[in-house]
Amino acid sequence: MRAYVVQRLSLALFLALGSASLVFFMINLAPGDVVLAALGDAGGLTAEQVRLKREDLGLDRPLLVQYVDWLGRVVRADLGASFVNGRSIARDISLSLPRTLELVLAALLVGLVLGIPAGVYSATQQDHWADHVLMGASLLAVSVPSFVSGTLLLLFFGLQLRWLPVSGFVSLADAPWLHLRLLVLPAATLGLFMAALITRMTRATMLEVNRSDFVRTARSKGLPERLVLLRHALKNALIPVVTLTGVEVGTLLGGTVIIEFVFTWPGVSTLLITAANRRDYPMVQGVVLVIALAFVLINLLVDLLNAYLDPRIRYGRA
Amino acid sequence: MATEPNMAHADRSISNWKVGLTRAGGRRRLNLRILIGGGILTLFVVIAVIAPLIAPYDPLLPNPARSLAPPSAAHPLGNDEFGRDVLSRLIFGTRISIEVSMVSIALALSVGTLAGLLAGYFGGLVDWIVMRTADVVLSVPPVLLAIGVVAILGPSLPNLTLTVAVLYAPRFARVAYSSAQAVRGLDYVLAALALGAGSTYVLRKAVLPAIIAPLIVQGSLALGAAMLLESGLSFIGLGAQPPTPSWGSMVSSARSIMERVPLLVLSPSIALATAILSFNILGDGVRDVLDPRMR
Repeated sequence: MRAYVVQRLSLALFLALGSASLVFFMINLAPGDVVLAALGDAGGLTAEQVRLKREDLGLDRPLLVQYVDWLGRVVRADLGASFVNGRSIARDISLSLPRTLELVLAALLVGLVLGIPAGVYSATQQDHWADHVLMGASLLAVSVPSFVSGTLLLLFFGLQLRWLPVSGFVSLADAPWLHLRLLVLPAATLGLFMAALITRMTRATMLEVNRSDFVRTARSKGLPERLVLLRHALKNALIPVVTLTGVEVGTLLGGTVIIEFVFTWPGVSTLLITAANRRDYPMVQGVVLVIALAFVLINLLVDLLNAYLDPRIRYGRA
Repeated sequence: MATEPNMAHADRSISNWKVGLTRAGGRRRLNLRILIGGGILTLFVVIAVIAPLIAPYDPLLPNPARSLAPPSAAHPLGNDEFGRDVLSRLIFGTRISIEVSMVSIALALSVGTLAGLLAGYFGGLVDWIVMRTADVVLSVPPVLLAIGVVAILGPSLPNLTLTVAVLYAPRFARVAYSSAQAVRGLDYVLAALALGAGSTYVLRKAVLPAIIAPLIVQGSLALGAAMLLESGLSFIGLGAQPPTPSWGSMVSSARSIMERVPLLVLSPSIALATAILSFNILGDGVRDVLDPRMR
C-alpha cells in the first residue's frame, strides 16, 4: 500500500504542477498583450502609462522569472489582485468556493440516492421493459445539455407552476428555508445528470458481478435473492461505481460552470464567467487554477480510496 | 505510468478489438442503434450542407413587424424577438453545431493520433513529453479550460473550434499510444523491421490498422461532447457571437422571454438534445460492437 500511495502522490504533485504551469503559460504565451487588452478598454492610455503599468505588474521581467515568482506566490495561496476591481482573488474565491461545493455535494447526493437503486433494479430486470425504460431515460438525461434541462426545469417549476423561486441567492444563515428552496432546481438539474451516469455504471457493474463465481456460490447455497444482491453483489459492484463517481465529481465541477450561470448561483463559476467576459486575466487564471487543483486532489482521493477498497489495485500497480 | 503490466494489458485489448470486429455482424440489436443514431446524424449533416437551399428565410434578417409572432403557415416555428424566422435560424444553427464538432474532432483525431503513435512507437523523450502533456490537459475539466482559453483568445467560433481540438487531442493520443507501444514488440512487427521495413511503413501498415476501432469509438463519443461544449459556451456568450444562429445562443437569448414564448426556448433545446442523443446512441452502439468488454 505504501509504495502505491507514494507513486500516486508523486503523480498528483506532477499533475498539480503541470496544470499550474498550463494555466500560467496559457495566459502569458497567448497572442495579444494582456495589459493592453485589460486596460485598453478603460480609455486612451499613452505608451508611457502602459509601460509603467507593465512595470507595476512585473510584466517587464523575463517570463521564466515571472513564472517562478508566480509559482512561489501560489504556494503561499496568494493569487494576486483582480485587474478590474483590485480585490484579492484568493479572498473572492474562498467566498464563492463553498457555494459551488454545496451545489456539487447536493447534486452528488441526488445522483447517488436515485442512481444506485435504479441501477440495481435495472440490472435485476435486464432486458425486460423496466430495464429498457430506465436505460432510455438515463441516456436521454445524459444527452440533454445541462443548460437546456436547467432552463426547462426553471420554466416549468419556477415560471409555470411557481413552486420554486426562479433564481438568486441568499446565504444559509440569513434565510435557511429560502436558501434550500433556491438550491433545489440547480441541484436537481446536476443531480439528474449524475443519477443517469450512476444508474448506467451501477447496472453495468452489477451485471458483471452477477456472473462471477462467488455470486453463483451464494445463490446455490440457498441464500435469499435479496441478500445475494445486497450483501454479495452490490458490495463488490460499488467499487468501480465509487471510482467513476469520483471521476465524475470533476465533471460536476465543470457542470456547475453552466448551471451557476443558468440559476445565477454566485459560486466560483459565476466568478469565472464574469472575469472571462471582462478579460480579467488574473481572476480567470486564479479560478481555473483552483478548480484544476481541486480536480487533481479529488482524483487522488478517489484512487487512494479505491486502492483501500480493492487490494488488487495496490498490489497490481505498485 | 506506462510500464510493463500496462503493455501486456494493451496487447490483450488489441487482439480483443479484432475479435470484436469480426463478430460485429452477428449483433442485430446493436446494429439497430448504429442505424438510428447514424441515420439521425446523417439527416443533420444533410440539413447543415443544404441549409441555404431549404431555409425559407434569411436567418439574420430582422422583421420588426413580426417580433415574437406565433407560429403560422409562413413561419412554422414563429419569429424571435427581432422578428427573424426561427425555423431558418434553427436550420442554419445545425450548420454551426455540425461544423464546429466535426472540424474540431477531425483536428484532434489527426494531431492526437499522430502524436500518440510517435510517442508509443519511439518512446524515450518524445514519449515523456507527449504523454505527460496529455496527462496535464486531461487533468483539468474541459469546460473550464475552454472558458479560460476562449477568454484569452477572444470569443469566436474559430477560437472555440481550436480549443475543443486541443482539449480532445490527448484522448486520441492515449488510445494510439497504448496500441503503438503494444504492437512495437510483436513478432510480426519485429519481422517487418528485420526485413528492412522503415518506421513509417510499420506505423502505417501494422500499427494504424490495429487502432482504428478504438479511435472510431472515441471519435463518435467526442463528437457529441464537442457539440455539447460548443452549445454550452455559446450559451454563456463565449462561443458564437450574435447574430450568428447557434442553438446554444438561441436558448440563451430566448430565456428572458420564455415565460411568454416557451416555443422560442423549446425548439433549439429539442434540436440540441436530439443531435447529442443521436451521437450518444451511435457511440454506444459502435462501442458495444467493437469493444468486447461491454458485452
